[in-house]
Amino acid sequence: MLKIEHLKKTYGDFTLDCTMRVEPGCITGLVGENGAGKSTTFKAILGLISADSGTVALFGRTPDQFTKEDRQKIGVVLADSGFSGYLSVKDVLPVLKSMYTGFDQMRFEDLCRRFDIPMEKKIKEFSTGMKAKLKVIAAVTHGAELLIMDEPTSGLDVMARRDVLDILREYMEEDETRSILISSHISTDLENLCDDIYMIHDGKIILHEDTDVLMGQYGLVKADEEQFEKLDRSYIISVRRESYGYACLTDQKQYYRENYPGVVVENGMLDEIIAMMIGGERL
Amino acid sequence: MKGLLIKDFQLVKNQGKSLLVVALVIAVFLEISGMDSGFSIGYITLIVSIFASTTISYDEYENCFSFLLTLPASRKDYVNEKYIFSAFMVLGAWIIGMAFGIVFGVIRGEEILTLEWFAMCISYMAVAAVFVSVMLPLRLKFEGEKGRVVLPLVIAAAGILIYGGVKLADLADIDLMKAAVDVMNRIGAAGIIGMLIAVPAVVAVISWLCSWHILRKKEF
Repeated sequence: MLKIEHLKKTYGDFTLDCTMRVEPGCITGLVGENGAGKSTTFKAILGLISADSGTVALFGRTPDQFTKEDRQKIGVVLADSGFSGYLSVKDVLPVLKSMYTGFDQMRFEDLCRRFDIPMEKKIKEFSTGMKAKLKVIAAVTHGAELLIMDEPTSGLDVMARRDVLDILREYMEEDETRSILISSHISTDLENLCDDIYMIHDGKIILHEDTDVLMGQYGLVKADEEQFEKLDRSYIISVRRESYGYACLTDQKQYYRENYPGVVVENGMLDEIIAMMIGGERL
Repeated sequence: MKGLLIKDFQLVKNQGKSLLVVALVIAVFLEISGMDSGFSIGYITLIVSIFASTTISYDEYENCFSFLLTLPASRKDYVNEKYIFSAFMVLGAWIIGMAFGIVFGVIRGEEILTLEWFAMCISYMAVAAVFVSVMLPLRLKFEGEKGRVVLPLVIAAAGILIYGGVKLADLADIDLMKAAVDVMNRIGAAGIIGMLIAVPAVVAVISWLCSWHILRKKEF
């Protein structure tokens, strides 16, 4: 559905070099700290910036070959951009209706009612949560085949985040060939939603794994100096010095649980994995 | 493109309504104070043409531009829409202004609906069209704060150019006024009206080419 091959873009010291794929029927997550290159990747996919080199192919076409029909097949949420704040939802409705042939007005209005989105109020007077929900509702109500969402849950409280994720789950349940590419710096959102996750750091993809594998096989081995000396490091990905000794990221936590009963092996949470991949020393 | 047009007309409905009311009230005041009936036609047309170009600022508000360009509308659609929308706005304001001028002209018993009167009305529209044509590419090139600085600079530059031209003509001992009157006499009223249509049309085409070039290259 979406294929990115060595997409390169340089801004001063920063260089993005990204290779990734989004398969039909999959929710793919992109995680990374602020400035890692998530938004740059999204902008390049959408043709908002031009790539220095590499290819982006969405439905088999590059961004400059995109037709209006291709754009009808995607739903987009950008972190810092949406409809003009000087418009109300009621004003936006005819715009969406005219832009998207598959726009489902009834579903749009239903979702607005369900999530308490006011129809008459100007969008600039909306709370952050309302704005975010409106953007997601607009993206999922025209039968898009792929959602491209940059930080759709950014700045939201727990309840609003849950609402947004519910809308996304419903969108996926409606048609199993649909896909989502979503970025977030709130890793719990992605842990529970995504089928696979790409981790980006300093413009490079440093990890790509199925979420089940990340949650099931990755773990944190916590060893003191003595234990660390004796530890088989074949399955250790990175190591970080801690006050008690060493924290080691592994993709074979069961191996260490079985062979090193005295060593603490914790389940891998995405946050920890990110911290270890970025802050730890690679072996 | 239809969707973009609807969006801009919604913005007019929300933001432009009060502007038009204020323009009409000021125009009424100008008429009552004995100003030439043509002046308020020009005033209303120009005020609305300024608003037409500022819809780009509304698109830039909170970075909305990027989102608009992810909708099923190409960059070319966006440029085309701005020109079509501006044409609608200028034409609409001009018609309202003319209706206004006719009403006050009749009340005051002035001679209206003459060829000269039409030439004057068309000249206001020509000025408004040239103004929008200059503003649209500038607004696209210079976003937000920069755009606000550019407008007075453009007006100042135009002033300096005109002043410089007049001074140069003075130095060269050329009577510009007489030369202009001579030219106008030669081409006649129909020729003047033709020129008032042709010049803005050429400026608009050049302006469109500049806007398209700017937006095609623009990175978000």
